[in-house]
Amino acid sequence: MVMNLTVDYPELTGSAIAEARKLIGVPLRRYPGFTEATRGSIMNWARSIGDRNPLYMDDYHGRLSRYGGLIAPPLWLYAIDDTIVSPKLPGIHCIYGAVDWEFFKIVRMGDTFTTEVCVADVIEKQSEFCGRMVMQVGEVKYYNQKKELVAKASPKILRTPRKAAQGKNKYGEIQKHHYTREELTALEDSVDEEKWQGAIIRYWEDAQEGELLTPIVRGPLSSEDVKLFIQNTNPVKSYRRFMQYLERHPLCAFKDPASNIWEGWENQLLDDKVAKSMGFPFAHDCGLQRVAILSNLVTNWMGDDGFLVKFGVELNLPWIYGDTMYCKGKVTRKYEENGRHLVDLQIWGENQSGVALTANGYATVELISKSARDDERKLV
Amino acid sequence: MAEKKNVVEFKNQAYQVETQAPGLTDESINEAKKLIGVDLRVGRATVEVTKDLIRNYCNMNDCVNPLYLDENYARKSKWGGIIAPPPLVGQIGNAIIDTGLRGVHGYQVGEDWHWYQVVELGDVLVSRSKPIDAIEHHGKTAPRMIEQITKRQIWNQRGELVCDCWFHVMRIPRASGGKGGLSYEPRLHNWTDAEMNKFMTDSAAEKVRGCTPRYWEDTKVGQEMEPIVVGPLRNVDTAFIGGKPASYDNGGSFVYTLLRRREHPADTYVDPVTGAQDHPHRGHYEEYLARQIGMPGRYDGGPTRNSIMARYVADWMGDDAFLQKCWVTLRRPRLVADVVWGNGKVTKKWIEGNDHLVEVETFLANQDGEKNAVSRAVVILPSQANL
Repeated sequence: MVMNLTVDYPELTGSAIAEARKLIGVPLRRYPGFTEATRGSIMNWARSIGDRNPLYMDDYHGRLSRYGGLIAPPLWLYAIDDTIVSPKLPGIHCIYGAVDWEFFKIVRMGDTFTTEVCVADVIEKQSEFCGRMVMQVGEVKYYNQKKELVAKASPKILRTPRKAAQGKNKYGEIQKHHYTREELTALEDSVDEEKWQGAIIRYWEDAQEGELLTPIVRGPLSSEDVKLFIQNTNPVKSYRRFMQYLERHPLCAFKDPASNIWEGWENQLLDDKVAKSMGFPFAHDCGLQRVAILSNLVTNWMGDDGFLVKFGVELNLPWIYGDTMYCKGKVTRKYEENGRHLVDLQIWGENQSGVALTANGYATVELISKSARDDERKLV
Repeated sequence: MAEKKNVVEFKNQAYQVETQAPGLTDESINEAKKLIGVDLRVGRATVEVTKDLIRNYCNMNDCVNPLYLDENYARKSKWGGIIAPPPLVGQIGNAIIDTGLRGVHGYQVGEDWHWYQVVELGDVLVSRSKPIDAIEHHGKTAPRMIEQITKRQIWNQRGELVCDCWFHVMRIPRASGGKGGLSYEPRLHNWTDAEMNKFMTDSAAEKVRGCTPRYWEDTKVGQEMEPIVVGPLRNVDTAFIGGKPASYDNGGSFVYTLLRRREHPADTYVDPVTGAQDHPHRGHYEEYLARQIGMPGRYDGGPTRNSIMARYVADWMGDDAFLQKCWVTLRRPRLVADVVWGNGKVTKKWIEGNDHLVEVETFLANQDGEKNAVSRAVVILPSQANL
């Protein structure tokens, strides 16, 4: 059954697209969830993606690392800016489609951040999901208190007209998976056996092309997991703050037909009926969390002394509640560039039935070389 | 195969639970009292008071007083800088502590705070909690309930006690067990567009007292407080608001929830469709589970409403006053789509040493006139005698 919502789902029109194009290059106002890397904001975020690396939670472990204190996982920067760069096109749905990250500096406890955010491009596309759609390519630059560029993200936000997506019903056949006792036991085993390299250095020389990373498993996904992630990344605005926002952005919410109250679109993450009305099979994850979890596979593998240089992934299917994501990866290339010892990885996430939840995932990691002298192992 | 349903299984253990929704018996009160006096691990927290925490917290209780949010404004106040909202200080740590009685649902039904000093930006707060009492109640909505009272104490980084808090958790069997659960009829309010627009205008027009001192001399017994309106509560508010001043040493997703479930198998809810384990907490924002535990609909978190009650008084008293005590009791759930109106009045006025005190009583009532929360607070007001 599809919900009949009392806000009309607007069509994607040429003039709306032209409006969105006008904002290319214009600095955008942002609503950060967090601005400081504190013990609490780092640890709570790391735990909300199931990260167990003590480098992000244990002062004593951090003290003995090369950073001399706690640092944040690279994708923690989502808490500073969630990279959902989607101005204009009111009433057209937003899907977090893909992201490319580049990292330049480590985030240490105590750092505070500012960002510069703009739309880099607006591209029209055709899709199986909803026919005509628009992709907004964003550019988010993160600066720390020393005005150093810490990282740059280039998100690709898909703007999909809801009515068209509802009509196409691309995921109509998807059913929820029912787990057998054996499957659940195997899941628990994978969780218990998860390994992270930690303080033991993974040397560049020891990485082998073709080597498989130890997979990590997250799931079965529950709305409780997504809730915790959103609370620690960018909580929703409520009451008067929401109403002020609604006045400026009248289509940022819909009227729930049962109560006639303004309800946030985030409700697609809680309510199957709302998700279905926008072309999704069931309530599902928020894409950011999936990206963050995939980065956890890489940080587990590279160890405390590795540095994530580049990271990117496309999200191609919703991760629905009850599904489990298996994150996997392999080493594809090993090389030296400008004196840095680098390794390229291919990474992907699939669900319990082997269906890919992501595409074209990659990471470039800088590892320490056995040949490097101590003074060359400089801190980033 | 019927018994198999009532086993919560993990790879190395299986727990035979009588039911997913056990009832309460004559012996339950003894079990509820078992951990009295124990400094519980789950009650421990260390929280840094940061701008981010305060901002997100103020979003949660709909507070707009610039004393907590705007550095330039706060610098000129009596306190010389941003201070933490009183309920934030009082809520450091885990909001629900319900020991024993596995599988019996716990609802936060009130917090009683005594504050001793203000907390500034940058302070680090530490909290410890001990259960202190359990009381059996008999009511209309549920035949037998057990109230567990826990005392939480909060210190700052200098080891000074900044707040004592007694919080109350009501243990009520889940309705799906069919024995002694809550007997609410489901409801969901439906508003007209005109009403919706009125809430927006009314709440936007609300003023906080702010930097205009409210002098003790100008305050009279029987004086009414300016009313407030909060809501409507949205489904996403029940799930995705942040600002919880807890440290998740004990929380987290995925592996962390699995570890918690192994320790507390009776609090595991098995999803009938996927067979996967989950937590009935989802009833806050999923209709199906709300009905399973016996609530009339998706409902707010108790601490959120306690916090709104303390915020109401703090907004009324002005920046120069000090909120000394606040006792909040929650009587009925606030559901998604509910709007609540706050009212209050001054009930007492007296001098104690150098302190000029007033007592105020407030309540929140929803659109049906149902009082779902009441509170009593004691405030130290500035006095013209001390100028």
